Amino acid sequence: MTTLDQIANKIIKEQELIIGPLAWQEAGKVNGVHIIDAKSGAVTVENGDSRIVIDKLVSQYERLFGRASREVCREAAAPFLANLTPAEMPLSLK
Amino acid sequence: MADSNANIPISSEEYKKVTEELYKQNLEVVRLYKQVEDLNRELEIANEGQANLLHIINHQIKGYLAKARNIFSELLSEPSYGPVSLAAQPMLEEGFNSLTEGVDFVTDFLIASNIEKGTFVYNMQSVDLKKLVTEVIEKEIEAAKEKGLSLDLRVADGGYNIKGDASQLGQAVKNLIDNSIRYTLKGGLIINLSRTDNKILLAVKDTGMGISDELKPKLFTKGGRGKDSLKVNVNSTGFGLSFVKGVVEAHQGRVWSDSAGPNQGSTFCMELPVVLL
Repeated sequence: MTTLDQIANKIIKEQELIIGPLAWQEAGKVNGVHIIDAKSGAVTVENGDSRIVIDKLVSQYERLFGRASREVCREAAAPFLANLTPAEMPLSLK
Repeated sequence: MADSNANIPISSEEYKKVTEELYKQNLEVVRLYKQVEDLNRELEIANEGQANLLHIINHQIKGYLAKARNIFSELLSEPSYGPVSLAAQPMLEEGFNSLTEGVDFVTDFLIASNIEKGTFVYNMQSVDLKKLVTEVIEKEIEAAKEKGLSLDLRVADGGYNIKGDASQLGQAVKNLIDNSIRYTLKGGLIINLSRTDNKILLAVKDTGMGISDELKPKLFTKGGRGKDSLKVNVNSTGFGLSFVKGVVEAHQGRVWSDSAGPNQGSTFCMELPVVLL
């Protein structure tokens, strides 16, 4: 599991605490997010640039739930950001 | 009457605004929930630390009390120390008895603590509950008499052998009866022992101070004593009934109490399954 996979996983789980199973449904709509098992929270990000997939995931929630949801994504990702180089960092989490 | 706004379509901006507002409210609830979880964790750690500290302190106190009791015992019984004067004899006996009570008190506390933590090892053997209860009552009669209380034991026909730890079950029965004696100022206690096919029931009915609705859920928990209990029982630790619950549940039994309310007496029950060795 890459760091970006872990970030996607954590973001979806944090959103799930707030909006319930809808968090998984919305994540599933994002191109490049592959939900392997929602129950155990197994997620991978693929489809080209993984950074962009994370940005799209953050935007998906923000489009529906506003600015507060972006902050939730940032807080969720914060513990993992130290493992990324500046070039790997998704713009939405900067 | 139908809501006049029911058919007015909501704009997408309003919809988004409401959704975002709901999200923020949910987020606030989640944050509060996380805070409560954190506080609970901190509390658990603090409680565990306090319990461990109390355990260590009690072990130390027990050691000091036991040592002092042994000194009194030696002075009273060992001829090589010379004869004890008639004036000193009752003082030494009082000291010995008081320290014995102290050692027993701390021992009970330590056992109760181990039972609660699940670290107590029971010595399971065949126990005759009828004999056990009768023996406990013989020892408790004096305490009841001193308070002018009656103490009646009624045993229904049947066998009362079960698999259990005689020492801890004896202490549990003693605590239950002690508790009723301590919180009964007049009248008395009726202790009923009965059995069905697979269960034995011990019910201690008293004419004591009763149990308030507020106290009922806390009664068998650690420190679960009534707000006025210390006025009636200055030695109340709040551990007696918690100990009973721990022992009875370790024997796959259950405990409960009934009371119509304050000053209307209480009945304390322990039910044990008939399991034979």
